[in-house]
Amino acid sequence: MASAGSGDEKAAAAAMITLISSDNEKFEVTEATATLSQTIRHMIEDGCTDGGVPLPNVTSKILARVIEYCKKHATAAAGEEGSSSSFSDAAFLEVDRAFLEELEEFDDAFLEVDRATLFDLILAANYLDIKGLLNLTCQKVADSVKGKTPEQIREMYNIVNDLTPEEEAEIRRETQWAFE
Amino acid sequence: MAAPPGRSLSDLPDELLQHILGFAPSKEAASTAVLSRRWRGLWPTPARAVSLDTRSYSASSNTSGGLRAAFFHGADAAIAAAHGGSVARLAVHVDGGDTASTIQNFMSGYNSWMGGCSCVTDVLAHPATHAVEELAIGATSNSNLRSAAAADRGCELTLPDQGDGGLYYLCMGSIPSKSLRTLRIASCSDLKRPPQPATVFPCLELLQLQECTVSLDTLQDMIAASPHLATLQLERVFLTTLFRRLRLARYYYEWESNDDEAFDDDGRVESLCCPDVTALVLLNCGHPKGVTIELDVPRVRRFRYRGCIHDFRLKSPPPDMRRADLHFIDDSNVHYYRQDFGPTCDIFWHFVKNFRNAKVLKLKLDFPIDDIAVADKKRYDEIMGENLFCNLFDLVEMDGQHRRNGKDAGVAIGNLLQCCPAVRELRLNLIAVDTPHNRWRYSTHQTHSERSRKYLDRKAQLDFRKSVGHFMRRKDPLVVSTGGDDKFEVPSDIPGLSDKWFNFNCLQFYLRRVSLQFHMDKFNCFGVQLLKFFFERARVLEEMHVDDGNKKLWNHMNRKIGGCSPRSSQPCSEFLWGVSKALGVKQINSSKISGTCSYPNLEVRRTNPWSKGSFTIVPLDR
Repeated sequence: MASAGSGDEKAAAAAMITLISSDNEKFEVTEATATLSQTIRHMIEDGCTDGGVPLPNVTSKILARVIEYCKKHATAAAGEEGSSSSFSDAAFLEVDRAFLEELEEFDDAFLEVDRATLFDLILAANYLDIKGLLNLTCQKVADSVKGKTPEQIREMYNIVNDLTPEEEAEIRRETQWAFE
Repeated sequence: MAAPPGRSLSDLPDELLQHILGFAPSKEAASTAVLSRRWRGLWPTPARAVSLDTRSYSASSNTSGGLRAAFFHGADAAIAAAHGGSVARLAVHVDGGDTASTIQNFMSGYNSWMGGCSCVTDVLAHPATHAVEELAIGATSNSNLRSAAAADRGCELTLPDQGDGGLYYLCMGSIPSKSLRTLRIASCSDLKRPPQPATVFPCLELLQLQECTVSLDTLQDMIAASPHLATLQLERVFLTTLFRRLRLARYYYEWESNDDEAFDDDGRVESLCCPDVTALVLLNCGHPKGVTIELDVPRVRRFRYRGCIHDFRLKSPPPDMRRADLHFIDDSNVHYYRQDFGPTCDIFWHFVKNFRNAKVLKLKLDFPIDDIAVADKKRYDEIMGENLFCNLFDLVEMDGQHRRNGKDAGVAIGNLLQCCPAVRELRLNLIAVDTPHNRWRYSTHQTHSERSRKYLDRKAQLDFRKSVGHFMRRKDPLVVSTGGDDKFEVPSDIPGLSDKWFNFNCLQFYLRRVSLQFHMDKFNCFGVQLLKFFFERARVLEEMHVDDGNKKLWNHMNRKIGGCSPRSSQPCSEFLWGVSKALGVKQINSSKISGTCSYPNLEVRRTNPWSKGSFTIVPLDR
């Protein structure tokens, strides 16, 4: 009997949330998955998720990937008491990563995307306020500039230099140590 | 140059660019000021993060002296630029290149022929880093990189040895501890205790050591000095107990101790007490052979362990345990000389019974599960005591291999079911290995099971083609829907599992979901026998997830759905049909589950009066 009771609780916890991408595609996810996003968590707390959560800033392609990330991280952490309330804590997610080999492997594979997708993921993670995903993707970009000169970075990311030679010389003088 | 399609870095708002710069080494981050007008004001960022990496300077100087001067000049400048004159996040990474010996010079300036020059210790003593909250110190050298890569490939089976790993030593006293919340130290060969006064870490919450050598006493002191330490992660750490031995040796003559054992490590038990740690990770940690380290972790809630089954043990079962991930590596050739520990099965169950309060228990064995079988009820009761796992387990997972012959694998599964009488979900992932288990193939980079798995994945492709070919050549109707074909083989019972003394409480009342992953090399294999076992015995089963190693099951099923009139035939695979028929299952329906699952699934209706009416079989989503 006891098990039946907790089974019902489980069913209740598995309430579904519908997320609607900018191109009007609907994604049905569990609440545990959705609440990895602080933005959606607040919406759920405010009770305004009936009829779906429109996410006008996120395309279906990116949303599918974000959901993939959230699903994996949510299920990996499942089974821990109070886990859903701890998700707000970025440190908690970091700990989880170390705890679960499968998450490390998943994250590494997850980041195997082209740059445009990576930036889209950063924007989506920021908009949806998913700290773990935001840090993961930003770290990936930061790693790409390691050991690179400004010229190499400009070329890599198609940044147009609109500084005058004088301005550039001035900056180089000011922070000379960074250009040694 | 044509702009690539899609999003570019410039599309990100300033605060995200700053967030990214917070993760980059400070030199590169600062140099982005000349990228364009927009980038000019982005660094330093509000995150107050400073990341110092000697690799940023590798192009700037050919001499080690020049590199060193540039590095510390940059370090000073980066620290000085931090918002509010105070650094919150500090990371230091020293790469020694081909000469690992220079790392120590960088770190503490000890033995430096250039007297009075800067070193990392000075950076740590800088007033601006005094209140640092997150600190990471690490080092690499070319030789170390190679060994780390090797360790990564075979990390599941190597344990560090004394003297392994570690490129520099560090005094705990030089760590700015006042506001420190997380501390990560990598590749430190010796973490030294300050003489007096002891360093205190009033705010430390997370301590991570990787590839380090540290004395148990120092670690214990550090834990004792950190009243808020909640997470302790030790990865490939060698714990020396040498300090204690030397001290014992010193007193030996003074006290005229008759404790001859003081010099003999064998059988000695050391303890590590972590009174406030709630999350503990011990991965591939080693310590002097013959010593057992007893962990006193009364408040731990999450525990992940990978290593030998003999090396660590728990003092008492932590009452708040929620989740345990235990991966026991195959140490049969490492510890062949150790007989005093008793048989593997005893130690295994002694270890596992500490987690009786856990909600989730994941087990992974690099040796055959046959080794943990306890066939005798009396002996099993002796080991497990009265304390069965009475809490409701949510999930128990066993990932391992079993020997092809003999009944021990069945007994081991029986033991497992017996020890968790109220489990709700069970996942079994088992691969058959040929007896005897070849322990000397151990020295290669992958574990036995991993290699078997790779092999099987490759083989599965061939198997699948073969099975499809076989299927295409069939002449008779695809599916026999209403019986009349009785030539299906009945899988046999598992000899060990049918032992009388198992009562399988969980099967009667609790087990709702079973996932089976196995490799079906013949019809009557262990996996199929397990399938049959759960078919018959699990009375409240709701879902069964099956992966027979090559997805034959479901491909066949798909074909049949496509190839037959859905009304006249039941879409089920020959194999499953055979099993279910043999088990007296009356009806199998396919139904689409709502939601995301794109596979067909089967709903099995049972007619046994004592079982729950129906359950579903779903392909395991790998």
